[in-house]
Amino acid sequence: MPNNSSHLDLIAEAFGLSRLPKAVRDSLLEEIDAMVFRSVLFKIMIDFDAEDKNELHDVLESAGDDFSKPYAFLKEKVKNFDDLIKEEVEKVKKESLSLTQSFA
Amino acid sequence: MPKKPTVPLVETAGEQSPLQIDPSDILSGIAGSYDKKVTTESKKNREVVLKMQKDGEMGEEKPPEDDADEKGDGKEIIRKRADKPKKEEGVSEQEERLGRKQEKLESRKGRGGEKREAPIENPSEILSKGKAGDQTRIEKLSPKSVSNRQTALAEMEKVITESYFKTNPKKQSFEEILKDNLDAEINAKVEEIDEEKKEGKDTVEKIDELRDLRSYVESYRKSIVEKLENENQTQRPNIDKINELERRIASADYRIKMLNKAGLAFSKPNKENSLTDEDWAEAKDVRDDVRKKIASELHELLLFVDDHRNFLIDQIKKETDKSKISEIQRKIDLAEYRIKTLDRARLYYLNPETEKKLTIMERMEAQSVRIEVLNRIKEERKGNIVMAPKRANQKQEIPQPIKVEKKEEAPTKESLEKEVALRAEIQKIFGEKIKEASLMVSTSRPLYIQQIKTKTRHDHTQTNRSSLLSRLLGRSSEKKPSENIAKYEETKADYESNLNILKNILTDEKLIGEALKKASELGDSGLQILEEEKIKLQEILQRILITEAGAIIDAVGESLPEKDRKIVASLERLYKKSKRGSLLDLKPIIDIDTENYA
Repeated sequence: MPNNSSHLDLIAEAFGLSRLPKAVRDSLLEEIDAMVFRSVLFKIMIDFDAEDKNELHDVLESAGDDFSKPYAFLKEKVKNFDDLIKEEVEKVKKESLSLTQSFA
Repeated sequence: MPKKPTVPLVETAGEQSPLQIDPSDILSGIAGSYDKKVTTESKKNREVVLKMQKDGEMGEEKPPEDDADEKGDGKEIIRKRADKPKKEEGVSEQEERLGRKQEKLESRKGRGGEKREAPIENPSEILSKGKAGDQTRIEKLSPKSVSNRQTALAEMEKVITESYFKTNPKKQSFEEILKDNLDAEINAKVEEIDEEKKEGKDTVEKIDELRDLRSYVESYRKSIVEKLENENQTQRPNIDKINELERRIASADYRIKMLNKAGLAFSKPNKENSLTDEDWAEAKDVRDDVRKKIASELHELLLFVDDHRNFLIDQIKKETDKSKISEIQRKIDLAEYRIKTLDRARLYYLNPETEKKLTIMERMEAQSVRIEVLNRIKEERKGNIVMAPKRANQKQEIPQPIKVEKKEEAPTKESLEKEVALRAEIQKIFGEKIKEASLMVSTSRPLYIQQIKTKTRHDHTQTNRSSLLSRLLGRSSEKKPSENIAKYEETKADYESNLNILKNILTDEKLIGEALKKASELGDSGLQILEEEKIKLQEILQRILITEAGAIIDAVGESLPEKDRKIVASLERLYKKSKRGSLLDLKPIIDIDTENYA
């Protein structure tokens, strides 16, 4: 999955993975990435109403393998999309990756 | 993103129809031959109701197939229905339903403990008793007379409308009032929960901090007790020294007591555990004092390591044997790494409000170095090892690392065997504890997941507009939100407590001490192996914790309807295929994030 090394370095640093060997770090990053994305989507589905869900369903139907369409739809519909991601990153980090959490 | 919930009048199979209807229109829609006296507006609304009845959206039975010719004629359908026997004179199913909604609203008001103005009189009561208006006008009429019934219905509509708008100057529909009241209640609850969550987060941080400080003081107390015991065992114990050590122990006891007290005030807030202003001030003083002492100790340790590094640098300059140069260089690298770690920790304790918080990894490293250096000092005192000479005037500035070219050395068979044995020992020391703690986590997880599902369903219900009416209609059997939240918080605390045990294994002083003892048998190369093993153990712990987080997130997903889960699964598949290589637009977020957490 990782293509953009600067992004991954930043995520790795945020999650305290910088010191781990590269192969291990990449593998963990992939898991974290998928986990955060899933968590964001669950949150969106909880907040969407039936109409939004139907629209998203239609967009998915027409998107084929093109992720940019549903992604654009989510960005448009979810006004504070970036905040939501940040919130979920925090949540996942708090719930799971507390090896990097502050202790005092 | 969250949208302000609106209340649909009608709940159909999972769909929402945000139609707003005035109760008087509902009455006119069920009133049989009332069509002669309806107003233009109510007639229009009645047509909407009739259409809904035809479509089955109101929950009414559709006319039988053989009545197909009459489907387009709403009046005929109404007349047929008007002729059917009624459960109670003057009260239709829809009126009963409205009554049930109102009763539900009343019962909610009672449970919530909040005083709200009644938005409207109960329509059923108005119909049957004329409570809200002129009761006698209805009672005087004969229900069997068609013309009287028309008049009665007109009167009823008038009575309801007058009463309704008397308490409703904005002329909102019944559903709008209901919605406003529910919105207000829900929003208040959401704010309350948000506040609780916020407080909860701060509380966890404070409890963690207090526990760490207490752990430090306990460790300090233990070292003083050892000193006291040693002093007492000497042939001529020094009374002044004993008194001083006892004073320090008493001081440590007092600090532990204060930190415990403050910890209890956060973890189990109640009247008994609450702290007075004076208690707070003392607890804060103790905390600040302990922080300063930790910073001071870290500084001393840092200078100690720096002395050792300078000693090694002097040695490497004199050394001509390549294999020895390589070994010394390895020690220098390790010392530099430790200096960096200790300095980072020292700066944090000096300025906890402004410095970046320490990560667990940094904490672990600093703790590890601290224990090792203290052990080496002990060994030096016993005369077992010779340490680097201390500088005459300890510098206050932070020593800068000096880079020396690295030279590799091939390991011998014997050293390899020792290394393998040591790794196995270290893995055993931590591995058993990890296994034990993992078991505890997995035992408490199912209950926590169950509570997450309940909470998510509850949150979903709060957000889902159609569920608001279903709650009013008594379809929800869930517990009161406050009970759910309390139970959720309880199981969450239990689960997180077990998770913390797991997380803290690599910082457990006793375990680290044990591992260091083993590692020191191989000298500095043993310590290097210990560092490497700790990184491996960190990976194991990370994987366990990621699995835990994944299970928790999936529990949220399982609470969603299948249709939603399918959408999420499709999006996930597409995301994987897209190989975007990053978390959407995460870069700016992570940029900010690393400021606080890296």
